Amino acid sequence: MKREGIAVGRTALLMVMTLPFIYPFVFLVATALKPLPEFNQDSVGLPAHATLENLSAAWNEASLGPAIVHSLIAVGIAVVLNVALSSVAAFWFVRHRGRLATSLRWTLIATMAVPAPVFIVPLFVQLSAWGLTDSLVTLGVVFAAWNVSFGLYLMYTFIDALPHELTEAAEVDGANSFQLLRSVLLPLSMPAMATLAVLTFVWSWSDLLISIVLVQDPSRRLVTPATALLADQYSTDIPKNAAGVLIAILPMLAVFLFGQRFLVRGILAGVGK
Amino acid sequence: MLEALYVLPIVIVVGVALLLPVASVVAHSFTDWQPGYGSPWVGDRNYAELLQSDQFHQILFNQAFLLLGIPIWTILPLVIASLLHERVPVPGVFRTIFFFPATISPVVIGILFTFILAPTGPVNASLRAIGLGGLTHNWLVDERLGKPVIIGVLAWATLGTGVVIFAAALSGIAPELFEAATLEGANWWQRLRYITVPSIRSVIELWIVILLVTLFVGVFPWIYSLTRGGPGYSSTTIDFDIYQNALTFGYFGLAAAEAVVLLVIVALVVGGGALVGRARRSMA
Repeated sequence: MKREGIAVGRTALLMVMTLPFIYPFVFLVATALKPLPEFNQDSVGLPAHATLENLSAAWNEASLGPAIVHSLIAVGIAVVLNVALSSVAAFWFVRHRGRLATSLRWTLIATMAVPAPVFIVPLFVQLSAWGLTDSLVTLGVVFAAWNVSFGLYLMYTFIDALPHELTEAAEVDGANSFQLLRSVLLPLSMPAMATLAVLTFVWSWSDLLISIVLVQDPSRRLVTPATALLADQYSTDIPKNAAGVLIAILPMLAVFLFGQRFLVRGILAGVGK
Repeated sequence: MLEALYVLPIVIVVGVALLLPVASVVAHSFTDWQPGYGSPWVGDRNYAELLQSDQFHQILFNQAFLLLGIPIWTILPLVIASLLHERVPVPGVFRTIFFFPATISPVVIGILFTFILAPTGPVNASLRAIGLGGLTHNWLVDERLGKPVIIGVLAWATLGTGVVIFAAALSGIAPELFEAATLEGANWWQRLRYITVPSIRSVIELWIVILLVTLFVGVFPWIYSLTRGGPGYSSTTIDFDIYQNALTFGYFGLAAAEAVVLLVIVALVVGGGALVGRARRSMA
């Protein structure tokens, strides 16, 4: 039977198709390691005299060290808050299906369709009036609010699909709702919570619009805007900018390697699979 | 009653960070909004100004032009997912390679592409190397090329997510269907056309709705990094213009009206998608 074998032509075609997805990263690393004079001579080839100077220049000029710490703080707050708010609310909504609770649930989930460009300007104006801009805590809370609609959807779908016998048995044993949440549902929901944590991390870390508007103080800048602004200043020093981009991508590579299956699971949950 | 505490925090966070701002933007779209000062009522002046301005017409044209990307952003991942579906070794490795860009920040990918598309970058260098030097361009500062280049970069960036979604949908189709079709002599294209596409139609429609929404609310980082909306307004999108009007030029009232227009467009796209999905289900 033919179908048992490997389709050689098709495999070769796919390998060719991966080239545009591999080459940009090869080019990025080569450029980031290339001295500027060499880049100006030959901007495409592999570096003949590789140097780490671009990396240290980008690191210092864009203050990427502090920026990574700022990102970790804001994104960390977002992850913890989103997972906590979504799971606890999903637990409540699974147990309350009255008309009021159902419409509240749909209202919260529907905020997924509110675009950041719509809410960011009035939010900025309001937070400025309250003196809450340029704060990593505020930014973390806004990141959480921005992702909590998806979080509620994901956690509700997951908890709702758990066998109801589990909660019933615990209730027969006299568990109150807090004990039920803490000892039965949260441990069972770990896979969904991990998925939500990884997605919230990636989405918040990648954001530009929200962080560039809400944090304008250069000394509190996050990694993504810091990288964007390094490449921004009509700078023609491509190797240095490439080094900044490389530094911004490396943490994402680590997240990707550890969290790929959670990312895939989360994306598929988003399309109802 | 104490159980309401489970749901109160999420209501407060969403209310303060999302719902109040939406109410505020609608209210302020009818004012000459000067944050920190008064906001005198101006009726529909912001909307009139917006709808009469040449820039906004150009922006709407740009958004319409970007719609041309939708077939590309749909067909490419569909074809790759279906190529990966049968008789290919290590499909997971291929999928990983295509999927990695989905993890990286759009603005960071955009900056990477400014290097690749630079006048002396690899795209022009390879055109010269194969004797097509006449086709080299300064890709990002050419009025005619900005939008096609954005479509191309988005094709690169959205491919992996599309492949993941379509590959999962394909794995839900009974293999017997493909086997029977192969025995009947159907080639790869016929199997794609008559088995794959009809079987996963609802997923394809959902993907198109996701792309449409992204096109109106999520292109800001791409425009910011690739073209800054230029040259002139030739590649400005609504979301980029809202940012620019409010935070660069200080036209807060105009930006508010523009945000309301955007909100209506998104509601129409999402509502339309839901209606199509419901009609399809009730026919099935």
